[in-house]
Formats: sequence, C-alpha cells, structure tokens
Amino acid sequence: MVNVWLIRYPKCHPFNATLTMRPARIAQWTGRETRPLGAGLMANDGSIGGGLMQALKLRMHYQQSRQKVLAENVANADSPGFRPVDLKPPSFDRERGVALARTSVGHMSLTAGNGGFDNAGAPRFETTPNGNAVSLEDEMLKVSQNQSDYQLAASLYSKGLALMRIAIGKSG
Amino acid sequence: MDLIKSIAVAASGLRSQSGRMRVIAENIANADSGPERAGADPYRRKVVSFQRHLDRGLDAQLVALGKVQRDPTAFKTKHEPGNPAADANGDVKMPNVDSLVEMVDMREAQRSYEANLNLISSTRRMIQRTIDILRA
Repeated sequence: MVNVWLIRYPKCHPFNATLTMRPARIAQWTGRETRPLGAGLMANDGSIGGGLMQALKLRMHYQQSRQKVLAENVANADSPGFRPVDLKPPSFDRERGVALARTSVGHMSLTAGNGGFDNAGAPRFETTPNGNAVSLEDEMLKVSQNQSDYQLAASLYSKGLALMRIAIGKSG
Repeated sequence: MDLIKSIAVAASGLRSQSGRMRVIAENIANADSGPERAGADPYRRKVVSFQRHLDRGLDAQLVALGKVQRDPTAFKTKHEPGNPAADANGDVKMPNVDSLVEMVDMREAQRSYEANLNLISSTRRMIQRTIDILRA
C-alpha cells in the first residue's frame, strides 16, 4: 500500500449552530501529501471550506484506493493461493489526538488503536481447491457500492463548491 | 492516481484471461489431433497457470499468465484398426482433451473477463464523475 507517513490532523471544531451540522473533522489523512490539511484554505474555520470539503476529499481518496484494491482482487480471481483484501473505511471520530497512522500491518503503532488504513481481510466463504478465495459476485457488489459511494461524495463536493460560489456572490 | 492504477490492474486481468482463452481454443481445436504414425503421441492438453506479481512502478498486484504446462493424464484410446497410426491391437491413442472440461473452463474465463470489464467501466464512471466536478 501507500508507504507514506500519514498525519492524523487534530482540529477541535466547536459545534456550528448556523449550519446545524457538526463539521467533520479529519481523523487521519491517507493521501500521498504530508502537508497538514486545511493549511491552505480556511484552516481556522470549520465551515464549508475546511471540514466538509476535506472530509469529502478524504472520502474520495479512500474510494479511489479501495477501487484499486478491488481491481486487484478481481484481476487475481483465478490466481492460486490468492486471498482477497479490502480497505477499512476512514474513521472520523473525535477522540484521537496526533498520531502516526499505519499504512501496513507491519508498521509499529504509537497508540493502542488501529491505524485507519490497514487492509482488512475480507470475509471468505468460498475457497477453491487451489487456495483462491475470491468470490467474483462479492467483489462486483463491492465495486458497484464503491462506485455509488464515490458518486455521492463527488456530488456533495460539487454542491459544496456551489455553496461557496453563492457565498462569494456568484449564483449559478 | 489510484483510479488509473485500477484500470491498469483490470487490464492485466483482461490480458491473462484472453491468454487463457487462447489456450482453451487450442485444446478444443486439437481435440481430435491423433498421432501421425504408430507409436507417436497425440496432442497433449495444455493447462494455464496464473501468477500474481507486484508491479513496483504501479504499486499494485498485477496478474500474469504463468508457464503453460502439459496435462500429464493418460491419453484416451480408440479402436480403429484402419488408422495408419493404430498399434498391433488396432487401438489409436487420442488426445486427453475432455470437451466438457474445456467448456467449463471457457465459461469461467468468460466470467472473469466480464468482471474485469465491469470494473474498468465502473472506474471510468468514477473518473468521469471527478471531471464533472470541474464542470459544475
């Protein structure tokens, strides 16, 4: 997987009553960039520009990485001894402090908790005599689910952009 | 970008499944290729194997067609005394190709190929959706 030190970026946003939504805080960053999130745009404000867009960005990154993992599973659907893997979804919980996320199960963890990006073993209910445990139906289900999740996140992202456009006075 | 990578991985799956299809076609086409003369061996069935290998540039596990091996099972025999390749008892050795096995194998290759194709089209839709953010 991506062999980069990941930065879990802590931000303590107050509850934003105007938007009546709790700004999603980035629990861990799973991309290739090591720059702290939100450093560029509206870092101190947890409204549309900061929390929501970053959360959607993280979500979309996750879906892209998961699509790659699923593609590997499907391509190796006939390789002897191949075990399918899956990605754990990123968590947006608020309790975590600054920590290094782990991209591989071999990495040492500084905290007791799990890193957000380990590849979890998918449930196996069908193993062929040559040791292959890929179920194509299962994988295709995951692929279509992943795709629709991605489309949801992308739509929300463009809605967020439209909101910002309204805020700067250019409607439509 | 991971989406391009997933297309590359699925393309490697397509490549190896079509290679498998080629070997199955060879087997079916040669299902009746008997020996040329008495004592010679007829066509021996070929078996494909898949190998996964880590592409370091792509950082992904691709699949490739491994070595094509020969099926070591015994040949079938057919009693045909008029055949020039028949032995003293009038038996002719025939290839160890079972058309039923080949058909099942072919279906499986077809299914895997379709699954890889579906993955490519799904990934393309995701890329398209990303480009649509720019348009909105």
